[in-house]
Amino acid sequence: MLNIHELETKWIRYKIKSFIPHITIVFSLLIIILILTQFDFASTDVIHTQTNQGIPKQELVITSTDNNNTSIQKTIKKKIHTIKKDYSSLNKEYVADKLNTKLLILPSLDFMRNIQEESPDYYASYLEPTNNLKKNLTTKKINTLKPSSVKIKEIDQVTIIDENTISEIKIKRQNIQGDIQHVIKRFKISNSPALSLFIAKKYYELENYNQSYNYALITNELNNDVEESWIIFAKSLYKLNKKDKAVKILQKYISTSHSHRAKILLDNIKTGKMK
Amino acid sequence: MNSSIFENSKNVFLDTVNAKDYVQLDRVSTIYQSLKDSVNKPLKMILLFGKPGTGKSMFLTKLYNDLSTTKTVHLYQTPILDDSEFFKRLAHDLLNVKYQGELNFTQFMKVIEEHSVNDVPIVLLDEAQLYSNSLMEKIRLLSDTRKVKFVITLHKTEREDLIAKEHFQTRIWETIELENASSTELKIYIQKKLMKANCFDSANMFQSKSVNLIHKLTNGNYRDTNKLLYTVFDIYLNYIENNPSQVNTNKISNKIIEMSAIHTGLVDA
Repeated sequence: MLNIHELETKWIRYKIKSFIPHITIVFSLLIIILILTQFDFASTDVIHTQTNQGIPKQELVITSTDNNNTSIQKTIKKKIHTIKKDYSSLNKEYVADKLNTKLLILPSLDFMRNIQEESPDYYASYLEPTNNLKKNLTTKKINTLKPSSVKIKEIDQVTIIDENTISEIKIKRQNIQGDIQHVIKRFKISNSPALSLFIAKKYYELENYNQSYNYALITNELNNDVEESWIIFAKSLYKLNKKDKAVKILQKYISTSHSHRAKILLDNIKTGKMK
Repeated sequence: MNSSIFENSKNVFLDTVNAKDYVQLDRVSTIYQSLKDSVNKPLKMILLFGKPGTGKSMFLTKLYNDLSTTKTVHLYQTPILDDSEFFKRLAHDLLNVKYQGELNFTQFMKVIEEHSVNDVPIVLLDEAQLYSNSLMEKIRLLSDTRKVKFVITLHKTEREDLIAKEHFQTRIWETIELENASSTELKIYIQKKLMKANCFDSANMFQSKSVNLIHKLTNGNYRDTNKLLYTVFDIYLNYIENNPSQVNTNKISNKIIEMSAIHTGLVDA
């Protein structure tokens, strides 16, 4: 005799059992799709930099796979702002070149924040007005930049890794020697003191002190009021074992400009702290 | 639908071996015809093999029914496992001699060789895998005398394949293999079987989808299909009696097929 009720119960159990693999597959697929979707949204937002021929400045182009994603845009804007700050000195060059005007080029004084702590007390009185001046200058320069693009030297590629977990922007510096040659070509065309200062600084960084001396000298000839240029000039002399000449140059410059940085450098050279 | 129809349909699928229930399917008919032709050839032995439930016994019964009117045929559906009993039975059937005491193989061989026959009798041995190896060897030697022809059926398993190899490989002149039905064949089988019993309404209930499910559950095995459908109609009867509103008489319910499969052990619930 058949027990229909028991059979029906067994049948329901059997159906549930037979559906388990399907449910498992569907559920797994859903999870995979969700994960893939997450990856898709977080796909790389690559910031390319392009170098225009004959122009050393490099344009920062920001592309996003999701145009509607405002959070990405906000993040990118934030990063751009950071880049602006970190490369304010380079921005100045860009601004000068862009406007093609005879602007007064003043080197960035951001480093002052770092050396403020270790600077001798007797220079303290000079710090406040200089800082104010620097702030005003920096603000002014940044305001001239368009928010959608930033021109930065030395940057080939800036990559934002993840929209949510972006904590840093990786900046790769490549082929500096090639860049210098490129800048030299441009400098020969434009005779811009900003470019010659840039070249001098780069040569100094590359420990080519003869060249850094030459380009600092050229910069001073083009514009004798660029503090950074005098500093590089004096430092190059010092590195070329012409300490006395460096001291004389600095003393002469300090007497006319009262440059705080020049004074620190002079002090360091005299006391042998200069590295 | 009347419950008696379900009752009749249920009885159609009772697991019995009856030549009247033989359902003619194209492939099966071809195989059967080749078996009949083989019997008429001067062969010593014919082997009919296949998985359990593929219709070997039905084939043998059908062959017995068809040949018995024209030839001397003896069907041994149940194996006779004792050697002496087996030879005594053969002596009785083939020579019409009744032995009271023991009859061993040597004595029987002597008797049968002396016996002259015009028409070689055919002995149909079902479930030959149950015979002992020594008896199978004796049957082989008997067939060598050409005084008797054997048609034997074997289950197709590894062990039985071995038996076939050892005893019959060189002697069997004809081997016929029976296989499970395809889905289409199964549909024809079910419907023909039901229509033979005048159960036209229930035959119409079997649509291709239902038959496909049955085929999936039974692998086209005739015995399993009979068992399953017997239970299907039993469940239908139960519903008709207790809950007729749940019964859809237009087609066989998949739920009931699956319930039957659970009941018959074809699926594990």
